[in-house]
Amino acid sequence: MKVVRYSMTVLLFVAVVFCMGIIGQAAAGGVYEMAIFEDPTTVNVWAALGPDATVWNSFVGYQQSYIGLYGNAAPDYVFCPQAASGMPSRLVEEKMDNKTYYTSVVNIRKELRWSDGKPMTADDVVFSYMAPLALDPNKLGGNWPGNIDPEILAKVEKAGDYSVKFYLTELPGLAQWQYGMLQALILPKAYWDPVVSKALKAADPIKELLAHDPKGEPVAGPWMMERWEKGAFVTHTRNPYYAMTGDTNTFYKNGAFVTENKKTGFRYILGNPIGDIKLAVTEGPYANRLMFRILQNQNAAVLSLISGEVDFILNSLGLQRGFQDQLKKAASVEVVENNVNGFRYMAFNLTKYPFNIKEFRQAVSVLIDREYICERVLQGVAFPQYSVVPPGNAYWFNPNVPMWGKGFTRSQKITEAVRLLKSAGFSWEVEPQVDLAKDRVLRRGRGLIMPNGKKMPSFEFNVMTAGYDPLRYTFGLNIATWMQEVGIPVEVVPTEFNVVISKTDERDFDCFMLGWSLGLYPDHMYWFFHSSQCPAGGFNYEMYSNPDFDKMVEEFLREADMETARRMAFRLQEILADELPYIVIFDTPLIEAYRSDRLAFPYTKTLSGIQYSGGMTSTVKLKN
Amino acid sequence: MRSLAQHWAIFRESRIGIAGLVVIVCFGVFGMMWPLMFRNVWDPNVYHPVVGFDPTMMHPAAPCRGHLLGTDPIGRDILAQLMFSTGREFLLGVLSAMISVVVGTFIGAMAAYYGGFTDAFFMRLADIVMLFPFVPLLVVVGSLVRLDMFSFAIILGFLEAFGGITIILKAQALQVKVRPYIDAAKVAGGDDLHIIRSHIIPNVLPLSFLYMMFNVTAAILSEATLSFFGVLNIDMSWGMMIHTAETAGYLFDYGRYWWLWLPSGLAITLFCAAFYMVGRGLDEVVNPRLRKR
Amino acid sequence: MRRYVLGRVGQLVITLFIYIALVYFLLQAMPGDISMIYLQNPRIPQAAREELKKQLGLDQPPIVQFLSYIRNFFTGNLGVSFSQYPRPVWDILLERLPRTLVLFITANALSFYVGFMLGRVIAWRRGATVDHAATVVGIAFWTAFYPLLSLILIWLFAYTLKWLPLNQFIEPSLWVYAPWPSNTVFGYMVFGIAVISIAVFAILWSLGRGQRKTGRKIGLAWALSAGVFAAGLGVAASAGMLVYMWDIVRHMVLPVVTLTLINFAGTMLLMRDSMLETVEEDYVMAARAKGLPDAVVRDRYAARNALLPTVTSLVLSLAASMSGGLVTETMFSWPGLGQVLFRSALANDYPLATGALVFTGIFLLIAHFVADMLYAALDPRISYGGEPVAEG
Repeated sequence: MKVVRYSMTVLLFVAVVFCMGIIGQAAAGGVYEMAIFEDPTTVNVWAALGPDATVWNSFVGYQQSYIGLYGNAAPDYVFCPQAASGMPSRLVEEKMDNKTYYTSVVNIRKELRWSDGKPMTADDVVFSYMAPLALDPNKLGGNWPGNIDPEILAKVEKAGDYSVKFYLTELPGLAQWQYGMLQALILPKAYWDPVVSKALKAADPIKELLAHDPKGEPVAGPWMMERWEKGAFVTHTRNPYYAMTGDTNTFYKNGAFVTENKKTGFRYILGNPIGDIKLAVTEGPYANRLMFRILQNQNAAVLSLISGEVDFILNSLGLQRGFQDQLKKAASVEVVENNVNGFRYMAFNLTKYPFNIKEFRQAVSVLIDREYICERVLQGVAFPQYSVVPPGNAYWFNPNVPMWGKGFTRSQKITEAVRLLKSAGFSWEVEPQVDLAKDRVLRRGRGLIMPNGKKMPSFEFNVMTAGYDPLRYTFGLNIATWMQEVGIPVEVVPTEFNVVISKTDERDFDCFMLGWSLGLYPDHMYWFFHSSQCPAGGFNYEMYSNPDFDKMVEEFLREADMETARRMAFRLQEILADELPYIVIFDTPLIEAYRSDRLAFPYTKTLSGIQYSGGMTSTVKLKN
Repeated sequence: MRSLAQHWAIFRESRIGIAGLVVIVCFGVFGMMWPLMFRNVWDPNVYHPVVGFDPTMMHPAAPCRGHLLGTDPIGRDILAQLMFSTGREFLLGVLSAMISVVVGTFIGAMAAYYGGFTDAFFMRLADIVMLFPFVPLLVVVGSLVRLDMFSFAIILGFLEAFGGITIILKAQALQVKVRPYIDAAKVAGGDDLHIIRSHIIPNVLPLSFLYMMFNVTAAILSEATLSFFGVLNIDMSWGMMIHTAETAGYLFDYGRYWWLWLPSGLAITLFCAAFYMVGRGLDEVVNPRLRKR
Repeated sequence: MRRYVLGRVGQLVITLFIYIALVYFLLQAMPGDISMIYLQNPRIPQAAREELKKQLGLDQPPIVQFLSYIRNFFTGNLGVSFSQYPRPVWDILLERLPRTLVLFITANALSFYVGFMLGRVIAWRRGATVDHAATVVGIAFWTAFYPLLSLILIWLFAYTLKWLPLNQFIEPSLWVYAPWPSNTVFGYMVFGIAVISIAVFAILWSLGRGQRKTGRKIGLAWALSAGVFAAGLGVAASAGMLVYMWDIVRHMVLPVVTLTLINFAGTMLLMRDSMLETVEEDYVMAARAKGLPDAVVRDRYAARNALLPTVTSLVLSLAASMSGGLVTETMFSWPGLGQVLFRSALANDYPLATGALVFTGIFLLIAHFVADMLYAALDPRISYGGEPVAEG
């Protein structure tokens, strides 16, 4: 009797659970499903570009819904017009009220519409620059001061219904002009003007503005936000008035670039468009709706991808290596690998002796076996790097920088490091000895004596904890072991990420290992190595100071011509690779996966991957 | 007061307790094999639990002759990691449990004996400590001080000492305090510390010992959970082994890379269950009503 | 008794104050602050970082910040979050609360029920195989490594067998068209369950008052309860909400089952021990001697009186689950309070982390108080049962 009762209960439970599998699944067509790992924190574009600048906010927010005057056309990231109808006019000197300004006129495409059907005009563009200036971009924080630099931008004026004029206080470099100001997003004046004026009257204008919950805000990008169910999903629908649908970007083998829209007659040409075409991408969007599912961990996302619940995993860090070969075997899942724009590096405190000796750093760079780390330990899912510009950023990368100890065996590396150290005046109590023929270490170095005659004291090497990243922790240990072999008294200290950041910010360290992810234009060479960035709060953590370099990098920053700037960037990379304020080590490629039975991307080879373009939502085609 | 032998006789009756004890002994032997193997059998370059690497194969490698339990994604031997971690788990569990029980017993006895302000102070302190959600609190502390295995054990021990265990041990001590021989000792002129030490604490001790077993379980599980979320500064432990597999993305196709999670996952469960079972066995020693007649 | 209660309330307030101060300064002592995120982008000038600190009030001395925090706290203002600036902390906590409540109350209730039933049976049949088996199985789950267990269950039931949804708490493709936000539905669910359980309790109580329970009475009680339940479903269906509630229930099954597996042994073992004490009481002996059926003696006499310590432990665990389970929420993509706490702590978002800790602290404090009162009022017995901390 009892057995019957219990088994009935169990049966009922199983039946209910089974029902659950069948009932409650809805299907929909034309939806591009993506997995993201965190909720956005805001849908207010002021906040999303300001203090709340998380990558998730950009994925579901302005990256889908906003356009700027100019942008970078993927996959080659060619600087090209978006809302503008051509390149800005040359900057000319102009005197007004006893002040000298550099002015430039930008014309706007006339066919652009906001999602409420109203045209986008010069008024909107002027507002997009003048409102942040009125609020103070530094107070807005985040990306605002970089996009709208109050040091340079004096004002933007309306020069016609579809044309605006920029007034700058000094001649800007590429980073400030093309890769900064001209790419700022355009906001709808009709919607935001009342909100901003109200905020400006409030006691705390910034808080007032950022707290605004935008409802029914018109946008000019391909997608407009439809619903945000907190913690679960965000959906977008198509902007019915999106004017750039049908724009075809054509990339030529010779580097020329053409944007053409047959319907509206818009046309922009860069270079000489003849010869073979490399790629042509036509702007959609082709999907009817975007669905961002918020999953809290990568296992969940990968399982969803394999079972077909999501079509693509949108994550700026890509997928971990372990998923790669398992996903390759899964049916209808395509795995793509792309270079990223960044590097992992180690740096010494150059105000301390003997770290300020160039040969010391060169010896350390020789000792680090990047190829071993990448090919052996990571089994090819990382690439060695020697320059502060990653090879993936092909236009700016100098392939001929010195590569310390590349291709050497262990014993050759030790021999070379010993030679470098000796040339700088180092000596040993016990000098390391190797057998070059058999590639063996016969005797480890001990008691390294510095050129000033004193024994080198042991120093700390801050690496990530094993909990934060087991891989990087292990590399730190490897590097330390290699240094200890020649007698450099290094001591690995696993340190919490936040602690490393504040130590570097306060310049309280001996040496550390960290990573950067970079922008396209390599102005980071200024920020990381110019001596003006040395004091605490600046980005020259290692406190590298070289007057010649300073002068060159300043010129580079001011240079407005791409070709000249490129030549300068090459020279700067050579200096840095010789002086080694950063010892660049390696970076891992970005691994992404998508459902090939659902999606057809126009291209998948692009720097920093599909995620960099926010999932390529306006050019991807859905197969069913 | 019963003698140790009597306690043992009662404990032996409990099949669950004995089973737990056997498992613990097995782990002890397993853990003690580590220094022997590392010094005499295994090549330190290949079998070091943290920086070891086997250049002869692709990783993670399935179990084979050289690596009986395979290797992890960065080429380290799983068996070596498992063995190496066993000793450290013992250290973590026993150290934190010892601290919590020694401190908790003392405070509990004091609170019961003196009552009044001492009692109220420690009881409210216990309330406060018990208010903290465990995992996030340790995340916070973890970013404050670099928590390695040793300091983690100490913090955990003190948190538990000032938390629930004090309350339970105080209740037990209260029952002892009202016994006539305590009054007799007082009349005879024994000082407070003496009475606490020689009359109250011995009577609370069996219960303390019982909670020590439960606390070992709690310590190991917390370490594993926090390691899994990557907020500890521990280079190798069972939790870290799973964390390594998880962060590298090998933890979702369960059948394929079973050696990356099964040995460590099983070790955590077995080890904790064993201590818990010994605790259950001790429960019958401490609590006569639970005993079989 | 009244003096005891009043004294306890006074201590409660002081404890709360000390707790807030502790939490506040502990978080303040964390290295760095939220303005450090600006250090990750060289294009953000230092002036912007200073402005941010000013905007968030981080440029003031800690004691001033603390005093203004306390002042705000007693006016019911927990401040604004830093990482979701300028969203009020209250707003974020209230958004997460219904999800956390529904999941963890259900899981607690189920694991309590399972533990109670099993504990009753194995205590009655002490030393039998079923006792040993249930104890060993229970301990195995109780000490299992929770993240791993949940991953395995997801993989088995959701991925391989496809019986249950993979993760998340709702199915997005269904909810896109929903006329309500999910929190409204969660709210109605909590409300509905409360109303139904009160009604059912009232029915059982009013019918169970007589000395003997007849078959007819029991049948009537069941029928009425079923009627109330059906009526509840009917109301939900007519409002068009049933399909959405069903979707939530579907998504709850896996986390609830996992939590139950992990937790039932605690209640079971506590119940077993507690009942082993009551079975030796005189009234149980007397009931047996009267020749009452075994099951009646077990359920009506022994189990009922063994309930007190287990119920107090239920009160405590209910309050503890207010802070949510970080593991559960992460593994099953169920963003609740535990996630808020974890992420805000990692992101140096002091106000949010403090707010979440204080919020859950208040619940726990009240629960402790209630548990104390229950003990003091009913039976000053001490519970035995370790509490492994798989999660907080």
